[in-house]
Amino acid sequence: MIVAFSRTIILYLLIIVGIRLMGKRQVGELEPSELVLDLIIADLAAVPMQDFGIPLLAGVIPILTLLCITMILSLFTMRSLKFRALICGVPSVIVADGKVRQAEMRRNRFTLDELMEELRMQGVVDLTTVKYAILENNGRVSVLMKATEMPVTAGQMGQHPTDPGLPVILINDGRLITDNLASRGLDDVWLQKQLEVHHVRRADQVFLLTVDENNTVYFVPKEAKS
Amino acid sequence: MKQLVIALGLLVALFCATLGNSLYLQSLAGEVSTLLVDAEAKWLENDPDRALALTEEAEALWKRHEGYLHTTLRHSDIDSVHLGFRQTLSFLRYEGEGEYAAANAVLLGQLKLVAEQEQFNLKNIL
Repeated sequence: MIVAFSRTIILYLLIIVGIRLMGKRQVGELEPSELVLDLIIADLAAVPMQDFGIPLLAGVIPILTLLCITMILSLFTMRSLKFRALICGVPSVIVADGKVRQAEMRRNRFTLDELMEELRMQGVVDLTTVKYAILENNGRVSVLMKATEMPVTAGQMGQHPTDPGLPVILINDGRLITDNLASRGLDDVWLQKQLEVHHVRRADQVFLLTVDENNTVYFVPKEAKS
Repeated sequence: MKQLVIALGLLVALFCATLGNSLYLQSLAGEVSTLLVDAEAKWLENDPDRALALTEEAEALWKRHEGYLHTTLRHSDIDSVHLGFRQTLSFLRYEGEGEYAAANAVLLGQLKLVAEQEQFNLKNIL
């Protein structure tokens, strides 16, 4: 049983490191090679975890090989448009100017039911209001409405609202993140003033403190433990 | 570029290591088999003591590499070779004539299979 315990830890850590090195993507945005990796890697790790008669390397070597190949394919995909088109495909315009492009739909084996479902999920029920509907490589449909159907923006109404800032977390569940404090050009004196304004004395009494480029502060104190 | 070089380098290293392992295994199985074949030849020449010594030498050679073999081969395959040696040696020690030849043949076959299954050829890949 200690063998099962040790192998599980080793293989789990190996997979975590490998998936982490593959980068940040959601399942729907994975390239085909990455999706294959995700599907296979769990099985590859499970076999030596459960069957002690198989050497650990019988799981480690295939996993490492798959990670290397996936990384190489990802890098080539990034560098070469042709290679990217070969591996990932190209987006297809299936609706243009309110008209369904039937040949594109046939080519992608995309049914009318699927199209109407995707449009409804994005709040579109009238095809004539759609400027473009594009079937992306990840299988999702992007919809661009005609200009007359799009909501009015502040700029179009001659308004000039302030741009929102990007908040940076300074205190996370009582832990002060000094790097973020320095990156905003702030210091402990500023922080202490903020704490006093919100009637707390120390950083560990704060659940969340964020500040954006406009120096707008968002503060949440820690709740008392019941 | 650095990531590509690292990934390619690791892939090539894995290929070389696994190919090296198959060549090493073939060489080891070959050495052990040679000792066993010599042992059988000595036994046929009515020199059972020399046959026993050669078989024990073959077993010792295999055992010296058992740690490495356990990390690369199925444990059941290694166990079957180990049991083969036990059987062959017991027939030699207790002079089971017919049984020795059969056991030695089985042991040679097991060694050949163990090495063959790791070779880089179409039969194994498919």
